[in-house]
Amino acid sequence: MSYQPGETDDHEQHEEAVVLNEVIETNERPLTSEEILADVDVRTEEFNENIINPAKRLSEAGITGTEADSLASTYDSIAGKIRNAYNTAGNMVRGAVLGGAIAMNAGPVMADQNELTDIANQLAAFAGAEEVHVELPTPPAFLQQASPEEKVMPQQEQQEEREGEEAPLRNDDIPEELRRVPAIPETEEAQGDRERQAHDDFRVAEHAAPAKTWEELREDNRTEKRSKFVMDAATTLMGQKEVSQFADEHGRLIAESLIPGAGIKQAFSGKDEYDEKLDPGERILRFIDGAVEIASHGGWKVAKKLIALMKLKSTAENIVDATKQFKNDPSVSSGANAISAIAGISKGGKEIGRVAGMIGTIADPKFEVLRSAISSIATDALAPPITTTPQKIAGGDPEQNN
Amino acid sequence: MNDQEQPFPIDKMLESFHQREDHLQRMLGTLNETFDKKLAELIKKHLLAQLD
Repeated sequence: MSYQPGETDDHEQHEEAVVLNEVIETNERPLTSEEILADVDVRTEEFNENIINPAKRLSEAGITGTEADSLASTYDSIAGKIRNAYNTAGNMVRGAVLGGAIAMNAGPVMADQNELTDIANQLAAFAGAEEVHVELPTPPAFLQQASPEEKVMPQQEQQEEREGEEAPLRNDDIPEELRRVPAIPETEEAQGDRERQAHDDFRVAEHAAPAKTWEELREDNRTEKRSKFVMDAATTLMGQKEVSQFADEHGRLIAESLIPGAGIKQAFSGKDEYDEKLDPGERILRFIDGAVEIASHGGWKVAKKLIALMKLKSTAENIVDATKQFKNDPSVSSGANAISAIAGISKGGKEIGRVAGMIGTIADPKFEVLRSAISSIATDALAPPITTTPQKIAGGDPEQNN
Repeated sequence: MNDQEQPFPIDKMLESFHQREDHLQRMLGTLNETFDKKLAELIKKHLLAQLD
């Protein structure tokens, strides 16, 4: 992958492309978040450029009729799935960059072998079996994913059912650094804030909960203690009063962003569910739901803008302005198409993308523990990483395809 | 956007992303080639029909 400076007319983009190209080629330092996002954007654009318009090609050739329609339809169907698979992968990277701690959970979605197998089978049928030789990539062990059926099956049953096959990947097999929810690095300014807070504040040193393993976090979710867990994590750093303020303030921001002037009740997906008597942990969860609603209404660009604005000023006015701006922007897709931009096509991808985007909005490092807690919620959408036997599509042989 | 180094092993994810990218590019290449072949067949069929 390289960038051709002459390919863009924009001087600023040209300069960025030159710099990014040098960094990638020389591998002189890790890429920044901005650079990774730019890299994925460019790759996605280049990938999409290779998808043709079959109807146009047929029309230009003067070919019409049922066969032409069928050919165009088949191409569009397969190309659409390929594009979606690519977008899923790209969006997982984007979500990981924005979400930080979510990275390890996003990985399995990206390596969905079943999705690739489905596309390969359709491609084989389209091209003729003897013409296609596609070997699926084998993802790193820690990225391998369970099938949807395996997701809802207890691990012991999976093991029994898979006896004789490749053994399921166990938590112990996951590298230690990936088993822990990684901390988000602090800026110097943020570190200063946190240290000052630690001096004149409460409980941080004595009561901060140790980082939980992925397994522990998932267990917390399974036992429906999400609200309490978020609450505990938040109060560890902020205290009861501050958590309550946090929930209310952010809930209000969400409300204003969704329906300017409508009030806090709309903060929570437009439903009349807001209740001041609810415990703050529950209100934070509903605040997250509201943010998801924003993403589904405004799409990726809005979410990205919100993230940037909240990092800068965290003012409701700016967020409202940004939302209005992008709601009026015809280039911004809406509804399901928009959310797919951040989330990808799979259920897991959507959840990860949504939550990762939300985590990005909670940019203040003092919410680090809370952020980790929220990130664990995303694991609801994912199963334990179970290995699947790599499948080959060779010559369309049904035995090998299945 | 934070300009600091990535706080998690993003390189692992990028590696997997690039692997999938290569794979999907090959798939798309096969799809495009197949489409071209089938289009050529249709054109040929169309021309032959005109001759008839």
